[in-house]
Amino acid sequence: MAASWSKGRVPASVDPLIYWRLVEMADFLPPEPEESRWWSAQIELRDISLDQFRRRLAERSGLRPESLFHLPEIEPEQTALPKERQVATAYGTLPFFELVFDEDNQRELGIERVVLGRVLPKRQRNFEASFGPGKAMPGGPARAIVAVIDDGIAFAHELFRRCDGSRVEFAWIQDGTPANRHRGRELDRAEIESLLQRHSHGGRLDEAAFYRDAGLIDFSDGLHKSAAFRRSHGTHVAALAAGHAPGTHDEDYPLILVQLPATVVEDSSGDWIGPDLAIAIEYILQRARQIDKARQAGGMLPLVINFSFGNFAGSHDGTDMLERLLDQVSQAGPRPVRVVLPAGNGHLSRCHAVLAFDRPGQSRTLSWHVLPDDRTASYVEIWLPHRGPNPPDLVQVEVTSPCGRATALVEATPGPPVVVARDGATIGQLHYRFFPAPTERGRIMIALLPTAHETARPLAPSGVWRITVTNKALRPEEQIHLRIQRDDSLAGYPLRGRQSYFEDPAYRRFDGIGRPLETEPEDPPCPVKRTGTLNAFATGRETVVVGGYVRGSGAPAPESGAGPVTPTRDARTPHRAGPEALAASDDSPVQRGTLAAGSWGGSMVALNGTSVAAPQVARWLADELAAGRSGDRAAVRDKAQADEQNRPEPGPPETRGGGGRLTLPRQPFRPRRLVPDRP
Amino acid sequence: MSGAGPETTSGGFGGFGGFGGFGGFGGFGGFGGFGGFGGFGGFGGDAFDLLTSSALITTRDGIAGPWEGALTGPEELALESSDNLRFWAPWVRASLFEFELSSRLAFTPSTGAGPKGRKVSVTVWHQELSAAPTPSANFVPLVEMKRPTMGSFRTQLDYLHSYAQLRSDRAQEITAQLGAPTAFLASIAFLHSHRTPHTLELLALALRLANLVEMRLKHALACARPHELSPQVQPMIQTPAHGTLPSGHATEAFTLARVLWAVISATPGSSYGDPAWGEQLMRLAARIAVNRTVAGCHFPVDSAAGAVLGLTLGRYLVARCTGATDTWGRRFDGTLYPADDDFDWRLLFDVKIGEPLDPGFAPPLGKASAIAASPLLQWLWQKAVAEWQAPGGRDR
Repeated sequence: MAASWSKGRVPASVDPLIYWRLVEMADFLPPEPEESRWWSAQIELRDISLDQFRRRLAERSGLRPESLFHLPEIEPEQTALPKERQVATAYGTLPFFELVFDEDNQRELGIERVVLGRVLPKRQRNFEASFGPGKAMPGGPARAIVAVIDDGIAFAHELFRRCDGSRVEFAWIQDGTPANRHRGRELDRAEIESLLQRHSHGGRLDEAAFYRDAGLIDFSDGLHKSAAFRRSHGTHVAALAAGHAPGTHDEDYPLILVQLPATVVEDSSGDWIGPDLAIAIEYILQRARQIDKARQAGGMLPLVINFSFGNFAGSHDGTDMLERLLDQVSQAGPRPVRVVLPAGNGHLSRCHAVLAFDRPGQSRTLSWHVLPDDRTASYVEIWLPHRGPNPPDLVQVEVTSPCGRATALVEATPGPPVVVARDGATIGQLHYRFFPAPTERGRIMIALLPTAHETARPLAPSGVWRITVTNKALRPEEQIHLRIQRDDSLAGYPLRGRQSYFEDPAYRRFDGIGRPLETEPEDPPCPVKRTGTLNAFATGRETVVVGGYVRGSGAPAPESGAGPVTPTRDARTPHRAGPEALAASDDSPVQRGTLAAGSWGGSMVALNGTSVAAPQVARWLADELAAGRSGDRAAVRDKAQADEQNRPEPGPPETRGGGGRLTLPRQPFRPRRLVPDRP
Repeated sequence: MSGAGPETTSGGFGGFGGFGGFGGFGGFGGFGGFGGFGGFGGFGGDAFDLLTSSALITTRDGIAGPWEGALTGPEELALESSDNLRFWAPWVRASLFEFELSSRLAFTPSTGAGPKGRKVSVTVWHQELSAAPTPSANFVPLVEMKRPTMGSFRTQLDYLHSYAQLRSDRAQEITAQLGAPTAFLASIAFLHSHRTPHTLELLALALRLANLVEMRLKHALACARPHELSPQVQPMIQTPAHGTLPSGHATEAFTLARVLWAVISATPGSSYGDPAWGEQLMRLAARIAVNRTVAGCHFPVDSAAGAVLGLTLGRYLVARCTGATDTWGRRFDGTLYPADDDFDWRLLFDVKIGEPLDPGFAPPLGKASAIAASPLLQWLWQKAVAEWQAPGGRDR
C-alpha cells in the first residue's frame, strides 16, 4: 500500500512534478474536497490488458476499482486485450495516484509512465455513460473525413452545414453539459440537425438558443465559453480546414469535431492536455469507423486531423508520450491518417536557451524574468543530452530568487525534490528525473508557485530569477536545452498566466530600424535562441508541421517557430530541421491575420499565428488523399518547393520554412445564404 | 445632463424628446445631425441671436412703410383638431402626446397583502374614458407584476459571474447602448431624420411611455441590483440608481422593437411584412437586454420582466394610435420564474404570428378589451406609417 502523500514528504518513486501539482499546488486548485477531486491522466502500460490492470490494482489496494479510477470509454474488446505497450486515459482521485506511483505496483502492473491531466469539474463528468457505438447517418459517398480538435467550435456556422442540415457527423464538447459521456456531451448529426430545425425560425437559425440547447454556450455555469465570443479559435480553424458553402460539398468532407475543455485550454502550458487529446484521438478513430460504415460500404475514408495547439517545453526530440501518440496514429494504418500541427508561435518568445561548456567546473548564469501578477505556476525544464541508460551526474543547477533570499541547488542524480523556500515556506521546487528509452535523457525541472493569487499563499516573488548551471561531466560538443513552459493567457480568457522569459544582454530584439529581429545574429553569441522553438507537440517524425508567412511581404510570420528538433538518442542529426512548409497566416504586415469564419453565422474575422496556417494544409491534404495521392509530409514539402519556384524573392531558411511557402487558395469559401430567395 | 433619469433616453431621440427645454431629453446626443427640429441652424427659427434681431429691426424700419392695420384672413383654426398638430413644434407635440398617454395611465398596489404584510403585486391600468360631460373611466389592466424572491435573485446571481466573461467582447456595444438605441434600430429599419421624421417622433414617444411605466414599477417592486448581493459582481458601468426589475433596457428595447415593426409593416403588402424584419428587431432587443447582464447591472429575470412589459406596452401604444377591440394585459409573476433559468425571449413572443406567447410566468391578464384610438396619436401614427410606403405611393 502506498504511503500517504503530504506536503514536504514524497516517496522516491513518485514523479516529483506530479507530486508538485497534486500536493504542493493543491491550494491553487479550484476548491473541492480532496476525495471528490477527480483528475484525468495518461498511463503507459506494458504487457497487460486494461481489464487486468483494473482488477489487479483493486486487488492490491483492497479498494473497489470504481472508487479509485475509471477507464475511458473505449470499446470492450480493446480493454480485454493485453498489449505490449499501450497508453490509456484514466480518471482517478489522489489514492489512485499514490497506488500507481508505488514501486511494487509499477513493477507488477507494468506501469511505465504517468502524465497528469486536469481536474474534472463535477457537472462535466458522468462515469456512468460511455461512448456507445455511435451511429453515423447514411449519405452519399464521401471523399475524406476531416477532424478538428480545438477550442470554441461554433459548429452551426453555415460553412459546416449542408443545404438541408449539417456536415458535422459527430461533435464532442468535452466540457459540454449535461454530460452524456464520461465527460462532456456528444452530439451526432441526427441530434445536431434536429436542434437546427428546432431553433430555425423562418429559415434563420437562432444561434443563441441553438448553442444553449446543444450545451456549447450555456451560461448557467461559470466556465469559459469560447464560442460565445465573436472571434473563436476553433470556428476559425475548422472553417479553414473544412469550411464549405452549403450546397457545394455537402457529402464530400464529413466532419468530426472535438472541443477541448475550457479549463485545459485556459492553462496554456498545455501540460494538462495529454489525456484530453489522447481520448479525443481515440474518439475520432472510433467515430471514423462509423462514418465508413454509413458512407463508404466496405472501404476506409482517409482521415485528416488538425490540432492547432502549441507548447514550448518538453524533450523536443519527439519521444514524449504525446508526440509518440501522434506519430503512432499517423502510421498505424490501414486507414490513411494525417495529423497536422502548427509550427508554434514561440519564435521570439525568448523561452529557449542553449548552453555548452568547455570544461568541467565552468558555470553559466541565465536570467529568468518571472512576471508579477502571474496566477499560474512557472516552469523551466533543463534537458540534458543523451548518455545511455545510466548517465553520470552531468550538471548542477542553482536557482536564486530576485531578492536573493531563497536559493536551492539540485544535482543531476535521482533523488527527492529540492525545495525552494523563503522564510520557511515552500515557493518552488527543483528536481531531477531520468526518462528511460525512448527518450533516455535526464531533465532538471524548476517549478515556481504563482506570483499572485486571490487566496492561496505563499507566493513566489516575481522579478529576475537567476539560474546557474555548473558543468560536471558535459563534453564540449554536448548541449543542454533550457525551455520555459508556455504560460500566457489566450485571447478572451481571463488574464491568469503571464509568459516569463529569459533575459540576456547579448540578445538583440530589434534590427537597425526597429523591426523585430528574426534571425540569430552571429555576434555576439547569445544563449537565448530563436532556433529550436518549434511547437513541442510538433517534434515527431510523422506529423505534418506548418509554419506561417506574411502573404504581402513573403516573409515568415515573425512568431512562426523554427527548428531544428533535438536529435533522439540513436541519431546524430535531428530528424526534423523545421516545419514542412509555410502557409499564409497574415495578409500583410499591416493586415495581420487571415480571414475565416467568426463564431456567428455569416461573420468573418481575422485570426493570425501558425494556428491558422496548419488547417489550410489540412484542407489541401484531405483533397490529395481523396484523389488517391500520397498527401503526406513529403507531398507538402514537394508542393512547397514547386510553389517556391514561382516566387521572385528568396525563400525562408530550412529551419523556418521547410520546403518553402505554399500557394494555397486565398479564400476557399464565401459566406452564403441558407435561406432561399424570398418571393 | 440634469434630469437624465431614464436609462436610455438621455440625448436619445433628439428634438422629439419634448423636453428640449429641460435639458434632460432634448440633447440630440444619440442622434447627431438631427438638428433640424430643434434649431435648424439658419432656417429653423425658434431663437435668433442678437445680430439677427438687430438686423430685423432695421430691416423693418427700412421697408414696412406707414401702418395699415389688419388684412383679411386667415380662417379661424378648428378647435381641438389633429390637423393643427402640423403647426406645432415637435417638442410641443411631444408634450401633447405624452399628456395623451400618461393621462390615461393609472397605478395600484394590490389589495391583498403577502407574507409579512407586503404588497404582493402591483398593476398598471389603462383608463378608457367615457364620453360624458364629466368623464368616468373603465379601468383595463395592462400589466400586473410580482417580484421574484430574494432566493431567486441569489440563484440568478451565478449568471452575472458567467456572463461577465463576455465583457471584453461586448464593451463597445454596452457603452454605445447607454443612450437610446437609435443607431441600432436604424441599422435594421431605414430610419433617417429626413426620410422618417415622424417614425422617429413615434419611437421617442414609445421610449417615453416605456420609461414612465418601467420606472413606476421599478419603484414599487424595489428589487436590489446584482452588485448589492455580492462584492464580486463589479459591474463595468455605473449601475443606475433605480431598482433592478424590470430591466429598463429590456422594457424600452422590446417596446421600440414592437412599435417599429408595427409601423414599418402596417401598409398592406409592404415588404416589411416579412417576419424576418420582426425577427431581427426582436433579436436586437434581446441582445441589448442581455448586454446589461454582461455589464453586471441586471439579472436574466429582469430582462424577462422587461421583455414582457415592453412587448405589452408596444402593443398598447399601437392600440392607442389605431384603436383596438381585443387588447390583453399581461401578468409577470416573478415567483413563478424558474430561478435557474436564463432569459429567453422566444418563450415570450412568436414572430411568425406577431403575437405574445403564454409561458407560466407571464400569462394573459384580464379579458379582451376595446381601446379607442386617440385622434392625436392617430395623426402621428398615420404620418409615420406613410413614411414606409413603397415608392410610388401604393395604398395612399
